[in-house]
Amino acid sequence: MKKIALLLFSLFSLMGICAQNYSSSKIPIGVFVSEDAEVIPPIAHAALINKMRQIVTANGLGANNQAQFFITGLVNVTDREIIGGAPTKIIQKIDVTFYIVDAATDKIFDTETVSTRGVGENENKAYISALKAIQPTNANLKNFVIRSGGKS
Amino acid sequence: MKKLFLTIGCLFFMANHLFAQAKRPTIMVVPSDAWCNANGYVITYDNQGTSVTVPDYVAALQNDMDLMQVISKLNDLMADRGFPLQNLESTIKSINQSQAEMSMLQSKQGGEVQTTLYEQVRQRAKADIIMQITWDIVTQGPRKSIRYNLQGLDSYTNKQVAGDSGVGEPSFAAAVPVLLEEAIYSHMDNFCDRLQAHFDDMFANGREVAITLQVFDTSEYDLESDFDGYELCEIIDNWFADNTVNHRYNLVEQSENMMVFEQVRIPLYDERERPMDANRFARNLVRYLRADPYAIPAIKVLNQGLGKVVLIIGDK
Repeated sequence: MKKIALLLFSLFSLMGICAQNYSSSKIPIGVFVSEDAEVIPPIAHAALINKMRQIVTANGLGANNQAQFFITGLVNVTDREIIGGAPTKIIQKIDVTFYIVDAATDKIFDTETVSTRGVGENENKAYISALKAIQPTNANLKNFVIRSGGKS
Repeated sequence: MKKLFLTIGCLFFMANHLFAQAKRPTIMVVPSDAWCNANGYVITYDNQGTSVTVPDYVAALQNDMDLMQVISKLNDLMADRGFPLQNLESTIKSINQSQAEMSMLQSKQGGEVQTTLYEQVRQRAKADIIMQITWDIVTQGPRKSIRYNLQGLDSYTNKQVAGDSGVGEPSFAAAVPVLLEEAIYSHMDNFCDRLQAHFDDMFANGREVAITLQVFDTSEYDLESDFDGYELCEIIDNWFADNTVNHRYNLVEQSENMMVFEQVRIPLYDERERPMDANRFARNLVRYLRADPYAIPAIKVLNQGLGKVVLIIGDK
């Protein structure tokens, strides 16, 4: 009888741990880019938001705009070349730094910086090309989301 | 005597036939940066604190009737003298159309056409010789004259291969193309003669090309790597000395990561009588370096036109 009780207790404990893990892997994460965080064109702004949604959902978390936790990104242009010609080409190297933040406590859980390059006939297209090149399932981004999920 | 004429005739025919088969440079008329700037057809970008102004050819072609007519007139004048030109406007449209079509193309399994960033950068209107035109109108009472400058520039060596400038006779004609034609017509033969002299020089002394060698940062070799007491740059330099026409080339820059060869004279045909360009010539160097005793495993070849190629050692 004692053994059965111990077995049942162990089983319930295990179920509890599983439930906890499941819930942490499905924490809803909001996606947010501050309007004044970085001077990037509005179309690139939308592309960055979309990319962050992809990163969150592709790595096992759910995107939700009302969440306590959110992912945000800052874009930093590290190099830019403008080639005159027909048509003009703009080549950009950018660093995108992603943060997962707790809105309630203003605490940053983790950051990850991805360097990428893009080319286009204008600035919008160069930004979009660079953001498009970021793979949501990139190993570093995957670890970043998993790390942050664990901490939250 | 009859046999001599026949032989000379045959030789002349063969020479003409061979010259006709050589890859002829393409020529395109473009407005100069100075003209675009003076007429407001420029775009200014902020490049991390530095203001960069580049010509906006699309806006110029779409809005300036004079420019279209000037290009059309120059195309006519050159075509009449046996130099058919590529049209800037049509080339831009063709690039845009091709890009749009390729972006919509999908394989049956949903695959898209692959393009690298480098390929996207290279998708621009290009010609082997750029005819750069600048003009403005000088008004003297009711009469106008045109001040113009026409330069034929080799895209690869940056040499001016032909040029003409001057001020036309004052005229009551109002239309720019008419003024330009009046001004330029008497000098056009001179311009074309110089262009023809450039082509003749190419046929006589080989095509003049530029070849750059660089090194990937992942490469196990650089241009100072040692092979049996010779640095790689010396080996490459010797190869150029052995394979250029009359050993004519100029090594303008050399370091452990870069060698820049300019004014490299290459034969017009290879040993199998196939037309030769910078790319085909450079591939011989690649084969030489990949073979024993050097056995450099990977060299990337970037073909940048008839007269320019970049080789990057260490990867593909």
